[in-house]
Amino acid sequence: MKKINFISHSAHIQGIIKGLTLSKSLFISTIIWGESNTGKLTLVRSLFPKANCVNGKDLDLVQHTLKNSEELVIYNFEAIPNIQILDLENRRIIAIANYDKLPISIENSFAFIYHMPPLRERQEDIVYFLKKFSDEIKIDLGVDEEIKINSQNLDFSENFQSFKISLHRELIKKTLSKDDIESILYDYLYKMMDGKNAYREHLSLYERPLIEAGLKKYKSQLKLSEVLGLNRNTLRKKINEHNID
Amino acid sequence: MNTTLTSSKFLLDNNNSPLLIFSNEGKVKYFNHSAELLVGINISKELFKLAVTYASQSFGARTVHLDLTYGTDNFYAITVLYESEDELCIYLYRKPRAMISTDLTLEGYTKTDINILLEANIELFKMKYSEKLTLFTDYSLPKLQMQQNSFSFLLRSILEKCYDANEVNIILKIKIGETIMLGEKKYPILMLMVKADKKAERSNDEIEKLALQNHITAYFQKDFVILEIPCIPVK
Repeated sequence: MKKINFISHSAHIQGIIKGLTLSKSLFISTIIWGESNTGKLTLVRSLFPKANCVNGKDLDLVQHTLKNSEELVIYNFEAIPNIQILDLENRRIIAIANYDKLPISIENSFAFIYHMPPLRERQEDIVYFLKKFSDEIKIDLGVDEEIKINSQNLDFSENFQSFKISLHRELIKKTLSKDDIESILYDYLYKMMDGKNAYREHLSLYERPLIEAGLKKYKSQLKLSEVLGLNRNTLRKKINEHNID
Repeated sequence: MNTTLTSSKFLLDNNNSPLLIFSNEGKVKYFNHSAELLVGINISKELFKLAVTYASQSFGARTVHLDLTYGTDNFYAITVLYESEDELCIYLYRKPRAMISTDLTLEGYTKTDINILLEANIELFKMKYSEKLTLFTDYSLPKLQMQQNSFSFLLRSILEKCYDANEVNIILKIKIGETIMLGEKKYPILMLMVKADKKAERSNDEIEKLALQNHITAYFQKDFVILEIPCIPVK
């Protein structure tokens, strides 16, 4: 069996780890709840590698396993419609639930309730995993140089899932050459070009990022018009045309 | 039918609720057996003040419902009897204590290191409490039989009342020289005290209910809760 490692530098999660480690020899009911993709199952699997692990979506299997085992991990616990039918006493139960808000019925069913904070609230983990995943992705992309990623440009709405996807995108963006960009545009335009006004329709692919980047860099329309070699009125017209703030 | 109760003095002396008679200067002239402890912990002055406060304006008896706690005793009302200028009498109505079932079935009881169970519960509490917390315990306590999950619910209910405290002290020790009878057997008592300088003023009903489920006696004070846990040995 592959050993599962769980890493977190969050003080809150270290507290959960300590509590769960203490409960390894106890017959108590525990639930860990929080948003999806925060590492709940990985954490539990790393601490209870030998426990039976069942999906809450399969209620028959949950009930059967509850009858026959003293140690049980139930993931997707939120899928169980009526938890009162489950006998959670005198066993080591660790339930994992993707709740945004804890239902009141849970408080009466589990003696130990831990909340897994979302990744966006774990600054120490963001720093650590940004470096770890960046290094891994850079190996995949065959990139050696140091690449600076601003975590504010990353998406934490779906925790680790959206974080990894957005990091991939950011790293790919930062490593693209001029030829890569041209090639991407070529593929895109080849696929999308159609109708009778394709030139104007697709011009924004070039003009919009050009003006947005220029405004951010020079912070002045006057300066940007000089740099772009455009008349001020022409630049203002294009800003309006592309709805640039 | 006309009867005269000749043994009223005996009933008064041995009543389950405390009765004290004070002189007009506040000296205790009489107290029954139930009031011995109250006199012993030196609160007679406080009780005299209470009697003076709630005595009727003119001669007579007055009963007032109050929630009082002295030592480990709880009272729900007092009657103050004011019949002469020389004496003032106070009677405290003792709250009935929930009866612990003596039928001991060990279903769901498992071999437990109570220190580990306690520490796990403290770790959970610390998730939402970051002020000063001390634990004084005896790590040489033997393993005993407990309903671990149910006991954890009980501890959680107690600790949840302490989130606003500036300091929480937890003490676990064997109560020397006292035993508890369960199922015709005597068991030593483990005393767990949770003391907090500020506790939420919620009802203790849930804690009492959970304590009973675990054959545990719970005592409540303003700033602490004491649990007397039967130390059921592992067979």
